[in-house]
Amino acid sequence: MDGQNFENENNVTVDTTATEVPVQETSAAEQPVNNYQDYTANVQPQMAAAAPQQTENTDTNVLAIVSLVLGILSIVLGCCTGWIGALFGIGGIICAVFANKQSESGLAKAGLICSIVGIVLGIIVMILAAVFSVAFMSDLANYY
Amino acid sequence: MQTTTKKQRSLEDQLYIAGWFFLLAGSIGIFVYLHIILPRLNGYTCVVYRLFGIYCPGCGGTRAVSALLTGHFGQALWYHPLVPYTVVIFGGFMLSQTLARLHIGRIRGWCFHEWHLYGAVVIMIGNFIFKNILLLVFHITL
Repeated sequence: MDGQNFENENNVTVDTTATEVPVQETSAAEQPVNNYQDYTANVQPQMAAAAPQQTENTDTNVLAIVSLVLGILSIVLGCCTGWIGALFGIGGIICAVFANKQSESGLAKAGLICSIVGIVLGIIVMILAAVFSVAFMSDLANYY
Repeated sequence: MQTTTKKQRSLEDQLYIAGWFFLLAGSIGIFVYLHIILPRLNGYTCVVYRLFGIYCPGCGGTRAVSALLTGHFGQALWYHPLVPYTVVIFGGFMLSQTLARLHIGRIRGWCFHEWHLYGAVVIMIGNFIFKNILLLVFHITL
């Protein structure tokens, strides 16, 4: 008796369509065993739908994380000191390529994009510094 | 289910080792930049700022690190929010993972989430846009 009450409470909490619940209650009055079978049939697809979300999180690759970290650093450092940013960007691209070979992920793509942007910024800053170093103060000429 | 938790643990193990490498390399890099390179750059400012009159995505980073090293967290947040964000997220991960591995105080190590890194990208781009709006529209400098 307690077991039937427990099953009925679970039937209320499951987010199935409201039209199915009265049908199950009427059938439960006639055949209690079928009510339990219908309940498990409603629950199993929800468990199967939740399983892929857990596996997606574990696909995260360390190389993809490192590539995005290096990509962010290449953008931040590439604007100030061009060659350091370019070096970080090259490292980020290498990590992103190897990460994509193992398993494709959004982090690796973001790392690849950030690394390319960082390299481009670094090269532009290096060219600008080289071109305008004569007109600037002598510290730029000494630094680059 | 057990395989997913094992994979998650191995991911955090690898991140923990990579984190120590980054911590060592970053500490050496910051020390070399602040004590060796920066004193030689007399009055050196950003090339982008000098040429175009706008802040680059890295402007304020050095000042933020200096402010953070002297204990001024609010100033560091103003100069470049990515620096204190990195310290909180990365420092919290490394500290909690270390305490968890040493079995101190029933502390569970922080888990890695992808929004940690996407948040850093958003902060970097947002800071770049916000600081330039302040500079060009309201004439508020760093």
